[in-house]
Formats: sequence, C-alpha cells, structure tokens
Amino acid sequence: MLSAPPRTAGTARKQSAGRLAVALLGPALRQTPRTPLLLGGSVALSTAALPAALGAGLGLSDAALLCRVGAVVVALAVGFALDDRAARTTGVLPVRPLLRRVVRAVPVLAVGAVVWTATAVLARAAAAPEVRSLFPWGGLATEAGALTVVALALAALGLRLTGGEQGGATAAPGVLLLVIAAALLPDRFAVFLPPGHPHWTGVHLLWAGLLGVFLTGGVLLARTDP
Amino acid sequence: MTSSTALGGTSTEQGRPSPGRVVARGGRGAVSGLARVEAVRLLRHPALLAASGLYAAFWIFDLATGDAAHRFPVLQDESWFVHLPLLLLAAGALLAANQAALRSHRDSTETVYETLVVGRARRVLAHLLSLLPTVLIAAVLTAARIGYLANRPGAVGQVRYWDLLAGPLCVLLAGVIGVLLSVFATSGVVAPTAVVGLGVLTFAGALNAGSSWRWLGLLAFEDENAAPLPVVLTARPAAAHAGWLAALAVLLATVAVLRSGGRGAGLKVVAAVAGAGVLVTGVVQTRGVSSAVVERRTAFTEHPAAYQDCTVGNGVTYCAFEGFDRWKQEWQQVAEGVLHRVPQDVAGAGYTVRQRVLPFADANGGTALPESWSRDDAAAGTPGAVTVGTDWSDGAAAGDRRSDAVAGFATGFAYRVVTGEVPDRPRLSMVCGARAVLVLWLAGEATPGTREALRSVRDRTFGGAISMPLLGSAAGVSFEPRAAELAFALIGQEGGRTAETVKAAWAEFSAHGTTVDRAAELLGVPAPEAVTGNQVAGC
Amino acid sequence: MSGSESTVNVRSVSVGFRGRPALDGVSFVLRPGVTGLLGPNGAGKTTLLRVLATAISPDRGELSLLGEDPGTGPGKLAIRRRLGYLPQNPGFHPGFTALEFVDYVAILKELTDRRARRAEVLRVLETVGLADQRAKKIKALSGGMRQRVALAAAIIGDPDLLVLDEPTVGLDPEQRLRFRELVADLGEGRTVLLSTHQTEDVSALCRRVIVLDRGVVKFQGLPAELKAVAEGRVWSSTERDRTALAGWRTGEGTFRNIGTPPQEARRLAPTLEDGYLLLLDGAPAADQGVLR
Repeated sequence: MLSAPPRTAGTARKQSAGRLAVALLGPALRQTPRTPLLLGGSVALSTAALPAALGAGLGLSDAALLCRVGAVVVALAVGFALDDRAARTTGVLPVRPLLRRVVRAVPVLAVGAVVWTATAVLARAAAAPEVRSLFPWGGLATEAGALTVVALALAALGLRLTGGEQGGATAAPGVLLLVIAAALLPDRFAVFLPPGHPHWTGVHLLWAGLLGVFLTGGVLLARTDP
Repeated sequence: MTSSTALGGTSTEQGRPSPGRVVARGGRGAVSGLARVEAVRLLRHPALLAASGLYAAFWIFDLATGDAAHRFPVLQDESWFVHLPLLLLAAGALLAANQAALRSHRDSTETVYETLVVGRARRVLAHLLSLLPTVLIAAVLTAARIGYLANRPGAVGQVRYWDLLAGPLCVLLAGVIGVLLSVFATSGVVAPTAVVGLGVLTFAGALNAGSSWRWLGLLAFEDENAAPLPVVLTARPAAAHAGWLAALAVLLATVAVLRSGGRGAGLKVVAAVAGAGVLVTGVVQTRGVSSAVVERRTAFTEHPAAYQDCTVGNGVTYCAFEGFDRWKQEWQQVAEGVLHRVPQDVAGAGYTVRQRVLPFADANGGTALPESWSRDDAAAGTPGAVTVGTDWSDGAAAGDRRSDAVAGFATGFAYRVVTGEVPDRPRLSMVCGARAVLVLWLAGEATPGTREALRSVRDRTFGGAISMPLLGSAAGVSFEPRAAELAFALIGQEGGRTAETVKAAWAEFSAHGTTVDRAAELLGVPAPEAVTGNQVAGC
Repeated sequence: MSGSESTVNVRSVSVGFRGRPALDGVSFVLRPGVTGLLGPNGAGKTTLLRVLATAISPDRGELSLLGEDPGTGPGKLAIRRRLGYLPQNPGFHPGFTALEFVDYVAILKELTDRRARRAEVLRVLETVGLADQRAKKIKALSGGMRQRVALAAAIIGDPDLLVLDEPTVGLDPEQRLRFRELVADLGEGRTVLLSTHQTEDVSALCRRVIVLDRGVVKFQGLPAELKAVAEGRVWSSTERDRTALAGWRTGEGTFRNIGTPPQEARRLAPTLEDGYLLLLDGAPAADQGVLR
C-alpha cells in the first residue's frame, strides 16, 4: 500500500544568498558544460604550445595573437555557461535568477581563467626572449575579461529569447562575429593593437569601458527570468 | 456520396476521408524542395543576417568616410583583398548552416524525421544545397564591390576573376564545413570552435605571407607591406586555389552525405574525383612562384623601360607599366606642383618620371637598388628618371604604405629638381641645409595630398632624420632634422612670399653648402634651435 | 483495401537493448480500423511502435507492413511513403509556424508538387482544427495545439498506416473527445495502431486491442473480450478488502475491488480497465493510481 508522506513545516525558510550559493555550487559544477571548455581549452593551449615547444621566438604581436585566441575560446565556452535545459522547472523556484546564473557561471569562469592564464604563459614562452619582459599582461587580460563579459551578456540575451534554456546559441556566434568584425576594422579604429602601439593604453581603456557596459547589460538581462 | 466528419473532413463512400490523395513524387524533387525551404531559413538566420549586416556596415562606413583607402585601387590586389570582409559571411554561413543542420537534433524532431521518406542523407544533401543562394549573395557582393572599385576614377590594373571566385567559394566551403560538423558532432560549440580554428589558420597564413602553405587556408594573403605588382608579375595561383576550394567543398559535402547514410556508386565516384581534385589543386597551388614569373619580375625590375608606355605632359615624361596609365595624371599634378614653384629654366629642364618595382626587396629595407637602372634610363633616353612606385593615395588616410609612396615620389621629384640627381647610392643619401629645406618644402607644397603624406611621415618619425627609402630599399633620401623642422614650419603658410623668395634666391637655396640658418635668414623666419653636440651624420 | 485484409503482420519479433529484451517474440496481425495498444510503462509499447514506424529494425522475427518488408531499402521506403507516425514526445521547431512545420514534414514525405502540397497542408490543419492558428509560431501554441500540430504532421499525405504513441497525453477532456472523433474518422479505411494508457480511449475507439506486458503480448482480441476477462471478478465493499488483487476507493466512498470475490460480495459490471488490470495479474503500474 502506498501512503502519502507526512507534511513538513519550515523546509522552505528563506536562506541567505551566500548559503544558497554554496548549496547550489555542487549542482552547478555537475552541470558545467564540459565540451566547450575541453574543446576550447584544447584549441587554445595546443595553438600556443606548438610555437612555444618549437622555440619559435615570435614577435610580441604574434604572441599576443596566441593569447587572444585563448581569450576568444574561453569566451565561447563561457557563453554556454548559462544554458539551462531545466529552465522551465528552475524558473519557478524561489532562488533569484541572478544568483542562479552567477553560481552557474562561476565554475566556468574559474576554469576559463586557468585556461587563459595557461595560454598566456605559453604564448609568452613562445615569444623571443628579448621581448618576453614586454609581454602586456594587463592589456591582454583586459581584452580577455571584456570578451568574456560580452559572451555572458549575449548568453543572458539568448536566454531571454529561448525561454531561459539556450544562451550559448546566441553568445557563441555573437562573440565570433564581433571578434571577426573587430579584427577587420581599419587601422585607425583597430581594437586588437600590437603591443607597444602608441594607442595601446587608450584602446584598453575602451576595452575596460566595454567590459563595464556589457557587465551592466548582462546583469540587467540575467536578473529576471524571461 | 460524402459525409461530413466531426472535425470538418469528408468521408468517401467507404467511410475513408478523401483528401484527394497527394502523390509522393520522391527523388530529387523532395531534396530540392527541402533545399529551397532551408535556403530561405538560412538567409534569415541571425548569424548570417548579423554577418551580412557587419559586411554592409564596413562598406557603408567606407562610403560615408570618403573611402580614402580605396580611392586609388590596384585591381589585381583588390581582387583578393575584397574577400577579407567576406570572411564574416563565411563565418556566418558556417555557424548558420551548422545550427540549421542540428535543428532536428536540438528540437528533438529526429524521432519523427527518421521515419519519413526523405532520410538523413538526403536531408544533409538539402542542407548542403541550401548554401547556394548564400554563395550567390556572396558572389553578388563580390561583383558589386569589385565593380564599385573598378569604376573609381583612380582605379588601375586588371580584375582577376579567379581570385574573385575564391570569395564565394570560401563561403561555400565554410557552409559545407558547418554541415559536415553537424554530421560528426551534435554539440553546439563545435562549429564556433571550428571558426576559431579557421581564423587561426587564416591569421597564421597572413603572418607568413611568403609561404606556399598559406594557400591551404581559406584566403591567401599577400605581404601587406609589399607594393602591388603589374598584373603580369603577379603569381597568385588563383585558378588552382579556386579549384582547391571547390574540390574541397565537394569532397567534404560528399563525406557529409556518405557519413549520414548516403549510398550509391555515383556519390563515391564524386567523392573520389573531388579527392583527386583536392590533391592536384593542392599541389599546384603550393608550388610557389614559377621560374618564368621570377624571370619576368627580374626583367621588369632591372629594365623597366622596355615594358612601359610613356606620355609627355608639359615637358615631363611619365612612363608607367601597363595598367597604371591612369595614375600619370596624379604624378603630373605632383610634378607640376613642384615645378610651379621653381624658376622657369629649372622647370623646363626636362624630367622623366618612371614607374619601378622592387619585388625582391626584403622587409627590413636592406635591398640595394639595381645598378641597371641608370643604364636602362640612359638607353631609353631618359637619364635621371625619378622613380615612382605602384602605390598611390591622395593623402594619409589610405594607410602608411600608400601615404609613403606619395611622400616618397614628391620628395624624390623635388630632390631631382633641386639637385639634378636621383638617389642612386646603395644607402640613404643625406640631404642637408637649405637644399633639404627646399626639397621638403617643394614636396610638401606640391599638392594637398603630398602635404598630408609628408606630415604623416613626420608624425611617425621619433628623433633622428626624416627618411624616404626608395620602394622599401636601402637607398633613398634622408633629411637633416633642423632643415625638416624649418620646412614643415613653412609648408602650408598662407601667401606666396616663400615661393617668391625661393625663386629669387634659387641658386643659393639649391647650392650644396647653404645652411639651414642661411635659408631661414633668406626667408626672414627664425631658424630652428640648433641641437648642440648632435651633429647629424652626413651633414 | 478490404476490411478483412491484414495490413500489418508481426511474427515472433524480438528487440533487445543492451542485452535486455524490450520485445520478446511478439506476434499479431492488424487490419484496417483502430487497434488499441495497452500496457504499463516499460512494457515495450514505444519500442513496438518504433518498429512499426520503421525507426528500428527487429533483432529477430518477421515483419510485413502494408505488404512490404521493412528490412529492405525499397520496402522501407515504400512503407514510409504510406506511413504516419506520431511519437510519444513529438519535437517541434519552436520558430516555425504550424503551417511551416507541417509543410516541412510534407516535403520530407516527398510531397513535392507545391500547389498540391499546400492544399494538403491546409487540409490536415483544417482536419485537426488548426486552420485559424496556422500562422502562429509553434512556441506560441498551447500543449494541446502542439499535439494537434504533431497529428497533422502524422496524417499529412493521407497515410494507410498510422502509428500513434499516446496521442491524448496532455489533452484536456474536450480536446481528447475531439481527438477521439478524429482518430475514429482516420480509422475508416486505414490501419491505426493507438498506444495509450487510457482504457476509455480504447473503449471508445478501438475495434481490437492488444495488451503488451514486459515485451510479451498478453492479449489480443476485441475490447469486449478484454472486458470479459473481468466478468464476475469485480465487486464492491464498504471497507478495504485485503483479499483483492487490487482495490480503490470510489467517489461514493465504497471500495471497488478486483480479483477473486468473496461468496457474498456484491458483484459489479466489469469495465475494460478491470479486464486490463486482471490481465496484468493484478500488478498494474503505480502511475495509474491503483492502490494495492
């Protein structure tokens, strides 16, 4: 014979955001999109590792290019972080959407940061010894951060278009097309500058501004369910 | 007799609804019908729309800003360069085709589709065929772009049709790769990663513009620092590359169809032929520059007079390679701009402007000028011909290389007028004192374009002398910094006082030993401050 | 096609997944008309329907659909040209309109004459009552409407064999009634195999019924014959009867029991569901809400 379980009281007490985040981290880790990270990480690391292993002695521009490849693939992977096939179920739960999405993004961002750093280290190692000390960590990290935030913002937009389920389908093509378009900009408007370019600092202020704008936009898009 | 059913259908006498049975035609009709539907959806796909929008934005931006970069296009170069923004469309096609081909997987309709008459292989074929309108659009955009460039008043050279074909074929190949990836992997991240991979390959090819393996990428770049060559000297295996792109697209398409369950000897034959085509064209396109072309380049480099057509305008002879005739009037404006400001006897001395190429110059500027040039000029009856290259612009907005070409020709011509010589030493010829002021001032005043180009050179010079290497070689002219400072102070000044003074004191200005201080004194302007202890080598 | 001709012949068909039999020596014959397929979850109904829809091939046994052998390429193609299949969880392209989706399926059924296809798409949308909604994106349609879109896709091209896997799931009572009417109409002159958990659907629609349990055909015959299995084995009691194979409280507050009734028990007229439950040896699926 089946019987109904006794009703319980107080199980849905309001939890602090921190506790909730910690509790959600485990499930979020299990749902981390592994394929994008594995595939993107492999492409970035192997692209940077090859010239490093061959002792190619690249110029700073080429080393920066390798590092930028890492930034793009990490951004692509992060773009899939917010995908939630169970959005129809999770969307009606009392946890705030922004918290849910931040917790989903954190593990991917952490792995992405490791992948990018490893790529940058390899890219720097691939550069000629005399220019290694000039490797522009700060500027390239700003670009990578901005691209990642652009991917997250586009993913948040994609969630709104797909009932909260598929942000990556918007983020990945969006990031790629924006990066290609940016790479094709005329010299005087170039945003992917060679290290040491006179406009390096100015352009990286622009990157930082971009990061801020997309971060704000992404938070606004992600704080509510579609 | 018919009767109405509960939901509005009709029944036959046997009780069976009679829809007027639709006959399944089968075969190619279904594939082409499906391809039509998919083609329309593909064209409406956000990735492709965004890519097309960005492509259009580049063009519109160019037009809105006067399109200075393409005011003097060299069509044989533009024929391949025109594809660069088309890579956006290629990326869009790859992503959109992949997402379209994965739609049934993503939306879980495969459970139904796998029981329908048109099987997976034919659906994949339809997705492949659906790329054709997008490719057609790429072809139309390419034709429109090159048509626009060819009709620009400053356009020279010749359109290379095989190079043009490569752009739409890149879009086709990218789309085919998108469909192929959907057959092997259902993850939505594979296609974007493939775009990154193709991007890396393309950039690596651009960084190694002299390598022959770069032809195995989508778009084979040329050295962006190298000047264009006359069309007969170009050695792009464009036909083989177009064949390679097409054969690879067909091969990958057949692999996609075979992998998704396609059967039939015909398909395998097509795959085999395409595979052979990929091999053959792959080998042909990576063979490098043929010895015939190398010989021709040598001949054109060392003895340009034999391959040129010369025109005389106001006493100056302008000699250009075939295809560059239109630029003679641009050169003439600069030459006349210089000659207009010199005494009549000097202006009427008879000058020649000769177009030259240095295809073997290395990027570090260590190449010497061919010794044959002076003999060639003498044999052609045009001794002391001023060199002009194969780049042109009307200022600095078209990029440093084209801007430097204008500045280099203007100073070279002024140098010839002032000194009666052409720079023919193996290294830079130092121009000092009043001569340097005169040469730079004449060059800077010749046209608004030369003024802008010279200022651009100055702005990019940090310390030391302003130098004008000839066609990227080790030779050329270099100017004493103080003289350059004075010259740039004079360039663009209102009124004709400087011109009158120059004409009146031409002999002293152009004399070898006249100093910058004396030139300033003659002109009635303050001399630039002397830099103590920093004697410029050669002055 | 005459009413007595068999259109589907299944003989000793077995299908296994990872060594576990999903169908084990299944045999039956279908003729034009609606046949119901009953069985608990995991009985193998969906596997059987996918075999009949040519989506999967049996490991063993013989199969003839509409006179063709689905084991051969041409045979499979010929069957698919005359087949309509509505899976248990039909997928949709949310960005398509109802008309675009059904038209897309029509093309995949090789209806290539544009004008005729258009007319056929409009006909089936009219048939399922979606003519007014045809321009709406599927993502904007309700669950019941989506189910009707899926049925429209299944019946496009006027198939001779219709395989419907739980088509009434998620429909409200009115929609289910309309669905029954529609399926009844479709059963005229066609062979329809309808998989369902709803015995009322079978009672209302089916000329014949097949009961499948753990991959084996437990029953095939007329609905009345299935009902007859429970003849004299259903009784009512005021308290729960521990001897019953199954029993549940009815709306009136009494218990309806099936099994071997006590001598003095007040016997009730059996239903198809009673026969079905008894056939499953009193071990019905828990999801049917039967308390044991």
